Amino acid sequence: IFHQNNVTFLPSVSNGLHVHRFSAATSKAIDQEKTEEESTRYNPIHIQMLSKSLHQQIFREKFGEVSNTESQEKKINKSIKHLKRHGLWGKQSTLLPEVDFQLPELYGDNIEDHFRVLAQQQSNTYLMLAESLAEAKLPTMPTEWIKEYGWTKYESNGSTMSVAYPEDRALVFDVEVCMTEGKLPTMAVAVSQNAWYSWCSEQITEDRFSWAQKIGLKDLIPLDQQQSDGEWLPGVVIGHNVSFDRALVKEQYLMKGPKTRYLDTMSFHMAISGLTSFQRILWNYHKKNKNVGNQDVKEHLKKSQQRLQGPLVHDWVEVSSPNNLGDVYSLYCDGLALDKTERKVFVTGSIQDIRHQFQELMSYCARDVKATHEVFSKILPMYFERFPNPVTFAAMLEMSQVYLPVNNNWQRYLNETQGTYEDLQKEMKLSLMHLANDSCELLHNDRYKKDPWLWELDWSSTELKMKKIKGKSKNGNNTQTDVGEVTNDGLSQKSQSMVSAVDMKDNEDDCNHALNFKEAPYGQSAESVRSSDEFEFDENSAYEEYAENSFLSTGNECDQTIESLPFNTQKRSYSQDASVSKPTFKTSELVAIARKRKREDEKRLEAENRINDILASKNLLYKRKQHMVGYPNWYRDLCPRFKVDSDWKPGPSLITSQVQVTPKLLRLTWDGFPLYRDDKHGWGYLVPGRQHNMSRDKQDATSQGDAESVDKKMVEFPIRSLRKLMKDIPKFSDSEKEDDLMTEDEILSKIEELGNGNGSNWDSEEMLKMTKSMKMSEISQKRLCRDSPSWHVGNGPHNDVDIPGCWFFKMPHKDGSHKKVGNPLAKDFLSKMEDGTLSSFGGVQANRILEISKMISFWRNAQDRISSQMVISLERSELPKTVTRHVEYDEDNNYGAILPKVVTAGTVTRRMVEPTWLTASNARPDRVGSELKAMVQAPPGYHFVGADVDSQELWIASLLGDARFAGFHGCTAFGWMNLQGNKLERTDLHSKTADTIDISRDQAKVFNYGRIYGAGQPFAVRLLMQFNHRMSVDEARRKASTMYSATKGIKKYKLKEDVREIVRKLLSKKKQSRWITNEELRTLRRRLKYTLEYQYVEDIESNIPLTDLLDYSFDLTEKREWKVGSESEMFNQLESIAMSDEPRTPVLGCRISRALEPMSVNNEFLTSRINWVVQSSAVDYLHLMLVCMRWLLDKYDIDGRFSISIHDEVRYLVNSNDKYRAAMALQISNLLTRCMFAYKLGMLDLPQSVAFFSAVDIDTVLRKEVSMDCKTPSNPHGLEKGYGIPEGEALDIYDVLKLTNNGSLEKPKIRK
Amino acid sequence: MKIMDPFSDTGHDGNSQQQNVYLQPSCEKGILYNYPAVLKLLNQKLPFGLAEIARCFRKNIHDNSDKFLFNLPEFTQMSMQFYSPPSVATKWMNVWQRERIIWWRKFAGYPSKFHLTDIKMTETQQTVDIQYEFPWGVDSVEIITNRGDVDLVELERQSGINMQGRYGRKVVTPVVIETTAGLDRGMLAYLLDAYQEKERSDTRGKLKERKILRLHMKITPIKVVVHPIKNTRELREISEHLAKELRLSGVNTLYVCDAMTLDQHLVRFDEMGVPFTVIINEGTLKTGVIGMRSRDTALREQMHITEVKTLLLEHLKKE
Repeated sequence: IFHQNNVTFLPSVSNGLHVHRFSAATSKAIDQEKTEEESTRYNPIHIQMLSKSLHQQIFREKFGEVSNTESQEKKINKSIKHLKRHGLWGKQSTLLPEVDFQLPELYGDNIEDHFRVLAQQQSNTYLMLAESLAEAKLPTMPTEWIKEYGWTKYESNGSTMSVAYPEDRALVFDVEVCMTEGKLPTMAVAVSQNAWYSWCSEQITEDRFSWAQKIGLKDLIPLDQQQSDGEWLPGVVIGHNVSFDRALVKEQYLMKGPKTRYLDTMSFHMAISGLTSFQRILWNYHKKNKNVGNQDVKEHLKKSQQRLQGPLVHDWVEVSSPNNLGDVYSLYCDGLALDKTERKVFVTGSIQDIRHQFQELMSYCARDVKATHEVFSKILPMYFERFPNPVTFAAMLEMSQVYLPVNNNWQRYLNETQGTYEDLQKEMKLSLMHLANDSCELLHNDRYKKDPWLWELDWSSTELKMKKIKGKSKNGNNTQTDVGEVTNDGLSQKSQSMVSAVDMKDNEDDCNHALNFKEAPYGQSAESVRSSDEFEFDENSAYEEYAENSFLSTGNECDQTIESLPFNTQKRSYSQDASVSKPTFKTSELVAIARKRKREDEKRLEAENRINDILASKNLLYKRKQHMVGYPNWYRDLCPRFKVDSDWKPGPSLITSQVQVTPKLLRLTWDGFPLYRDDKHGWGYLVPGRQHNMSRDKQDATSQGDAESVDKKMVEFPIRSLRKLMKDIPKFSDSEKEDDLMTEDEILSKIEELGNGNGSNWDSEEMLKMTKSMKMSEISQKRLCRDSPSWHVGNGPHNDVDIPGCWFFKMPHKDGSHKKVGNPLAKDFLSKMEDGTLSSFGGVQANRILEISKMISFWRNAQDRISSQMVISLERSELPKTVTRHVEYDEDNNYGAILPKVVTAGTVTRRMVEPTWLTASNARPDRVGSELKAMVQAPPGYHFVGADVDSQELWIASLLGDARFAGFHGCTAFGWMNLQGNKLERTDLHSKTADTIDISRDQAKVFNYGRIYGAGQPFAVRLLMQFNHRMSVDEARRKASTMYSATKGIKKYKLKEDVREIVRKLLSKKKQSRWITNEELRTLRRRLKYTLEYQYVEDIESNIPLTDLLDYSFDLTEKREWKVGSESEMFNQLESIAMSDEPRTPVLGCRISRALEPMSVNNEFLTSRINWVVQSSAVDYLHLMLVCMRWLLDKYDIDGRFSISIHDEVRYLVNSNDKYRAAMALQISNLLTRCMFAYKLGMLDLPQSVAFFSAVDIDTVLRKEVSMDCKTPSNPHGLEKGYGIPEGEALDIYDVLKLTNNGSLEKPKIRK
Repeated sequence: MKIMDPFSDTGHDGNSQQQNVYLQPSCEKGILYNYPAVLKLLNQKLPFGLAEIARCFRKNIHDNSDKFLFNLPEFTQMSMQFYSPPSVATKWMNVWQRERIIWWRKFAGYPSKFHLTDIKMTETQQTVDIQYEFPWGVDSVEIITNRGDVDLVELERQSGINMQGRYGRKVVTPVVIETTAGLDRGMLAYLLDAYQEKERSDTRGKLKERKILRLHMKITPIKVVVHPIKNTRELREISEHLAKELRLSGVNTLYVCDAMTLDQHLVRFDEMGVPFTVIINEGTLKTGVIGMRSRDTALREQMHITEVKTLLLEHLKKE
């Protein structure tokens, strides 16, 4: 039974020291909780700490020994004062139940030693293998390669032999894939210190017409072999971007794979001398003179030139390079170049090409291997020098083992997602086509001129053009053409003469005619009867007969004599048989009948001729068919040209959401104003009410006489209908977003999106540019303030866009106001569609289109990456027995795995990088395909055990601040909020920020993360305006400033002691404070200057020549620090680390990339460096956790393996029998990792609230929350019903303790 | 309607007068009884499917004028049974859900008005409905059911015939996945989907509320109307010729020539859901140029009379 109670604690300053005793005393009244209270440990400001027993086990210090010195007391008072100022002192906090269990025994004297021992144990074998290979001299490369399936070994004596797999345990390895043939390996080369090896696929050695569809292990490269006892031998494989090669190695797909570890020279390089993405552009500019036109680069260069006032010497460029092997090779190997020309054969060539150039390509591959070895030899010692803690190396070995199990559902997911996507796209296209069709109607009576969206489309249309007719016949019935057929000529003439003879009125309607045939036998006398042979015809055949004779007769038939015509057809003769039975006619009657027939046939013939003439006018058409004659031009552009048997599709099928007319057809509005596109400014919107250009407009048009402008003004903007419309459009209301809508990942992406496309890269340059452009727009706004609406604030107005009666405002662009918006339906505006700012006046259909474009956005961007994931399926014999013997095992299910191509340290902060899995967002009900992660599914008998580190980066940052300020947990306001903050009482970090400037908690979250990632005030201003685009620049500035001074604080400068002395004397001030603001500093300088120049100055004894004080480049201050704010100490700490001569992460002592070290970059890229401190420490966190976890898995024989880590999240694939033990191991790993952090920052204790994961997820699939059903448009039934996947378990530490016999990791003795 | 139950006991008592005669409530049994024969025909290989369209009957009729089509005593049912090995039944169940919803959506102007419901589970079967948003609310037009193997097991018990088929190397009793759609209600859904009231301007430029039946080209009964603008012999001749040509090539064509104004005609054709109207006037006689008026855009495309057939055929093929 655990107790939970709230303790309100208001200690006075004096008893703050004796917190523990005090709390025990007060709780005496509550008997029940007495014992618990007594054992509960608190730190000086009453934050609950680890239980006594755990603390002793980990820190091995004597319990409760507080150094009762004066300085300690001072520190505590300082902290209390600080907390009071931020309104946090004396707030309630929740008492957590004690946690007490027996930890596994730790190695070494302290926790740091412990981790060192673990890491060494885990990595020593590999380290030795790697080092011996790095130091070795490679054997000579073979000159002739053997073209044989499988591995060939080349001995140093020149002999070759076929081997099953390379026999050495340390290899440099490189695989090449013929891209046009698929994803399977084509050839590979490996080298050890003893021999070279080559591998050929069957593709090269054998001719086959088709290859098996299902790819399995047999298609991959074998690298290991199990020993007779079933054990694998440890080995290392080295490569550049080695996870690409690893994904093609056979044994790596086995769930219980070999002990081979992969070392990536690219990751080593990135850690040692990696570049930020912005630096990469600059690097290319310097080294290769590429991208000369890039605006950002130019501006950056200009700025840095001004600052340095000298030639552009950048040391960092010389000690870094981009990641490709060629550049890396020349960086570490004395500028040697690597020939990569053959590479393109693998990219574009066919397998035939590869066979032809087999020797060259093998040599190329081998050269890469050799280069990789050389790089490795150089880079490995550097790595150990810069990353001295063995944990870093051990964790990288572990991280290379990424493994994502999948099954049949993967294919199903791909099919269903693609299907749903195509369906929705079809529907969207259909709806767009309907819209386009419906809009066509506005052509009637020029109604489009009154439409505020469609008025300026190109509504003109063309007439059908035909060749000139040479002469017209008199009655206009026959047209003689210049291409007219001569054979027709005579007939036409004849028919002409006959036409006059025919009484038009005699001719009845077609229908009547046919009816008459039927009525005839009954209703008419013999004399007037039509030919008897027609009697028997029923309506249809008569009609057909008639039609056949009169219309379909060809030229040949016409040549026949008129008399013979009626009797010639077979049907006639048949009907004549019928007439036999009838009374015979007199000759005269027969003659009359014949004559009548003749007349009718003549008529028929005439008609035929007339029709043929009309049809013949086809010759008047031009050969090239005119496109959609009669339709307005904008519509014609949307229709493909008609062609039989092509992929022509009916209707305006070229319309997509990318086409420029689409936003207009959708009648999009921004804040209720119609969208309008200007060539210069891009998309924006029109705000009515402008007076200035109403009359002037016409004058301009006439006076200028510019044909084009007159043309354009032909259609005037329908200001009246817009005004009318404005009344109808419902004013958009602020829709409160759901709480917790944004996850941390989304925040990160938001920040990245705002920050120059890269999270670690807000350089001051960018900021400056932004503020500048903002100022500019403000100035222009002020200048034109007479001509702008008072009721609307936005990006503009841009009054050079001259729409009578309207102001033009640009739509806000995410990169700032100077950029123009290319497509309002782009991804960046999705959120604006969601909150209704960007909406449509086009009715249900248009809204549905917006909805669909939202739904398909994820899959549209990700489909290529996701569907190209290589899945290798495993045969029964290749699966562990746990799987195949499980009840749920299904032989027909394709159990397999994906090995994502990760770069274990892919950024300067050494974060893992991978384009698909590490960036995948969580499932959202309105995003097709967003259930991606949940498609990674454990095979039967296995579970995923994993957890998210709770607010990892905030905790690390606050720990740094706490360590600097008073040296105990939660002593800064920032730290306190992170440890003790409470959402309900709004004392947590996000709520606090939200309350400070009156925004939502979710928005505040973005700002808070932004700050610790190094984002400055300009970022905040921009973000505020993006959150609420109706906020003015001034207001946003004010808010940002309020927020920053409350959190980050105010930048203050410390005057040099000498300077302070001089100032006191010169300005005859009695007191000069040590810390002054920037403003005060400037005033001081001015006053000093004034005094020195214009006033008599007495001689003052000083170390500084007075003249120096006049020089503006002379620094009066010795350092600057943030003051007053809740996070000031944290930032001071971050900056002091970032700006130290040798920045290292505080916990594992990892050095920053050479490209960012102060000695080579001066003061540039400071944001990147500050960001590095926190993010790189977070990577240390992950590394520590992985090493600890590996230790526990091995030590307690827990059947589990590392699956994936996504920044602050780890997942292990664990045998279901061991899942709770694994969960306990994970909790312990977190505890020890946190303690390691605290220990390294000089705090030998840990608050209870952060000691354990709030939840360990035990689940069969990867997902954010175990209860998420991941319903999406492509998974409408959810995981549970649609895929039969039950909810997982989320266990907190108390649950886990219960399930593991109070934290025992030992294997239970009795097992079923 | 009389369905003989080939396996029922009553069929063998020799007294055919006494035999129960009944009106089938669904096609279900009719298809199922064909299973053993077809299985044999296909060499015992699974999976396969059988389909039937048949008239069915029901007793309980609720009087509801809005949805009378739903409750007719006599209706046409379109049914398909798919016999799938149990191991891949879920997969096939998904395939049929997808295929069927795609089919329904294919002909709709607002495809999203057709949607699948959640899976309903009972002890023996899983059901998913395809529903349409009717004006009175959501109602089913098709039901897709995974019926399990109870039907076949029962049939095997009754008949003594082995119902097992081969799948790969295994011999299994298949699971029946059944899709059952109502033709009448389906058509009603499409009519409602197509029905639109739009503002259109008449020849004098006045805006009028017009009813338009935007039926899909494939399901509209009349694809094109040939209409001479005046009732003269020459115009009739050429119009008739065109109408004939179109009919002969398999395009369902209406030929209309009477005294109503063009405008009145067009209103009517729009209401009938005719996608195209070929307008033939005096100019046609000189140049062969006709106006191809589209129901959806209300605009006329000028083209030569000889091009009409190919264009319409392509429309029918591609839409």
